[in-house]
Amino acid sequence: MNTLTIKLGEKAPQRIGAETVVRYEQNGASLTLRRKYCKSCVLCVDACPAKILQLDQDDLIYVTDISKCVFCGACAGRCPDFVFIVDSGKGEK
Amino acid sequence: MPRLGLDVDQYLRTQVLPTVWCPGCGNGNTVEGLATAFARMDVDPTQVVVVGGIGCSGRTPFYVKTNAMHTTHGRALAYATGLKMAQPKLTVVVTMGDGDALAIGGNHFIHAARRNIDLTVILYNNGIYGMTGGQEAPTTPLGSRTTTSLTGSIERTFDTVEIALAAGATYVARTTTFDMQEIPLRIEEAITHPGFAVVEVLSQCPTYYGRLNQIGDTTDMLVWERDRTEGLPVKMANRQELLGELKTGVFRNEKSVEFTKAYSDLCARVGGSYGLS
Amino acid sequence: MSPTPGANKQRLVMGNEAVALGAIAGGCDFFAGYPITPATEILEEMGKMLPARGGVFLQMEDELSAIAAVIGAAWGGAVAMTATSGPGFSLMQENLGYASITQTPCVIVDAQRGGPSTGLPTLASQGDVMQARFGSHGDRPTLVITASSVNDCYESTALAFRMARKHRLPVVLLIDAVVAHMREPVELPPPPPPQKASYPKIEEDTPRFGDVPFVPFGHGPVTVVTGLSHQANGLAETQRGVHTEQMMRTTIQNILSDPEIRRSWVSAYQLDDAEIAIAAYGITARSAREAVDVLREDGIKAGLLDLKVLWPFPNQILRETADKVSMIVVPELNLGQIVLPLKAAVEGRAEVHSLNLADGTLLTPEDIAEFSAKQRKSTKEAANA
Repeated sequence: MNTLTIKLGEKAPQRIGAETVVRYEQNGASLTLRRKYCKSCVLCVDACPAKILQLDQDDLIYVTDISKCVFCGACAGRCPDFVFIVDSGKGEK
Repeated sequence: MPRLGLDVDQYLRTQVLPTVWCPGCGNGNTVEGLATAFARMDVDPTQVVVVGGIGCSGRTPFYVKTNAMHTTHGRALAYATGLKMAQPKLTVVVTMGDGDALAIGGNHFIHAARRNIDLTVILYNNGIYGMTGGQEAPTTPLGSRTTTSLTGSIERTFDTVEIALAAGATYVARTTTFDMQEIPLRIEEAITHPGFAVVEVLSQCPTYYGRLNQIGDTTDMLVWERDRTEGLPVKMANRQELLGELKTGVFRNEKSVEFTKAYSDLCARVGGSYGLS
Repeated sequence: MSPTPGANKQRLVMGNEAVALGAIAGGCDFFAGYPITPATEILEEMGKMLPARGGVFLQMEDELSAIAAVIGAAWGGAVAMTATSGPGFSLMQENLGYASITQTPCVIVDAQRGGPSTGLPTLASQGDVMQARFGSHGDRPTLVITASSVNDCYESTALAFRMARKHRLPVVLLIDAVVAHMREPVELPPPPPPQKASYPKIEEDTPRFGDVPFVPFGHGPVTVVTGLSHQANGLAETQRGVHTEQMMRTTIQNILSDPEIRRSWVSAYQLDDAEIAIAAYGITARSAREAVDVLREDGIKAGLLDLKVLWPFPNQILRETADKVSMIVVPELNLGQIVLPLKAAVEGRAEVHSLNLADGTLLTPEDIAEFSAKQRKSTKEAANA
């Protein structure tokens, strides 16, 4: 699976294929989505405190506005299918 | 489970993902918890075997990138007992469903607990037989609808924790997929525990249990999971208090002679040197 | 039976004890079982010998978990066995199939007793022959070895372990209550010193299943084992079981062409000039051997085919024998089991007559001799009429 990295302030392309791993990076923290594993169960949608997760037209999860993401990992915690990898950048083990 | 900088992927067999489990099924959270526990403990995957039974949860060994043994329905603990006795240095984790462990596998569950052999049981309790399409299990809450109890189950329900305690397990804990952050901690405690350890994880089954009992969507089911359990008061609750809701927490964490150690002493008594030494 | 020469180093040994000693000689270092007449002495003997050798002895909660523990142990690198009788053997069938599809080497001893059900716990039968072949559901490779003497018990058990490891399958040793409990003067070598089995190193891409050597966990990268139909790397393959079918066909072929099996398939006695062949196995082969002498004293040229390996059935040997004799008599302590594949192999080349007894007592040499003589007479009369 190839990876598309989107840095702070960059715009995400309109359409991202399921196979592409999307990785948002912002001052040391990162949120990675492996949308290929998503089963549209929307557990993450309700879990996200910033309410920035939704299903796209392919019924795969995507980030509506990365600038609001606080990298808390609630989405990763709720997701039963290993879609999200969150590194808050605080480095605690 | 937020990975807090841990490389959990090294313990996931990503080439076989996504899992066979339904959207919103809780099993994946438990697998992530197990892989996270392995990452926290930095285990050598070649010295770990995940032994699974048959049913939804039984597929766990395929997803965890350690040695894997996907055995027959209800018998995972018997396979694991032989494996552990043959190679006591292995870390052996046994993943079973509620029907797998307590219906067809009940006899092996109580005897493995009685022996206090160093195995870690992760019991996925979704209150139903998922793989075969939603039938009643010994853990189905009384009165629930399943495809074999369409007018409400009349079968009284097993309490996994009570059975494990009565049979002699020396580490017994219960958590839920709602309390996702607890899962890796309990599993880590259970694996490091030198004896028979049971971690029951109440895990939602939206496709059958949720739908047949009109609990709503996947998030509603998590809320239902949360509200049917309550943190364990410091002292052990008695049966009466448990009738209302299921308690979560660590019910027993004590040391007792571990079976492979006792066997090693037995061999020494007759001049033999068993795997441990 | 005159005592064998060099009697000084001999001692009276029970069949079950010889099985245990044969197992140790075959490298066994793990036994899991459950008490059941008439196999319990094997459990007890292994319980005496293994701990002192650093091996593992386990009494499990039932026979089902006993064979599961054996299979688990094999994947832990142990050379493992269990021993039981009919009722336990019935409980073991599902996991026997698991051992077959996962190509796990192990040995299962079935000391047959009178069936069905609780039946005649202390008496002999040969009623589990078909179960040993078809008891577990689905097609699978099988290797079923018999024993008709205490020395056989020793040799056949050691052979079972060699073949289990070589062909990677569960091997069944079929004995019966009499062979299990009888004692004979035998001279057996002392048990070899305990020695952990060795296995080759494997790499990430080394195939784990198919016509490849058995390597348990911990001898290289991780391994996946499943009872689901699977590929050579162990991962499930449930759309079409092509690898599993290929594995079964190859294993069956390898067993059929194994020189050691071909050598020990049948032991013949006075067969060269025989006009009547008696095909028997286990305890019945002993009576049949006497019957051959009795018949020859009466001027009837009879010979014995002692079937040492029942499954796979020695079709070729039976066909060749049928071409040379006019009649084959098949005495069995059941209502007719091995006679079925025997008839299929013989295909009318010679008459086949089944002599059956299933009440727990043994067929005597006289029973077999009289039956054979009577069949021969009626065939001759029919021919002359």
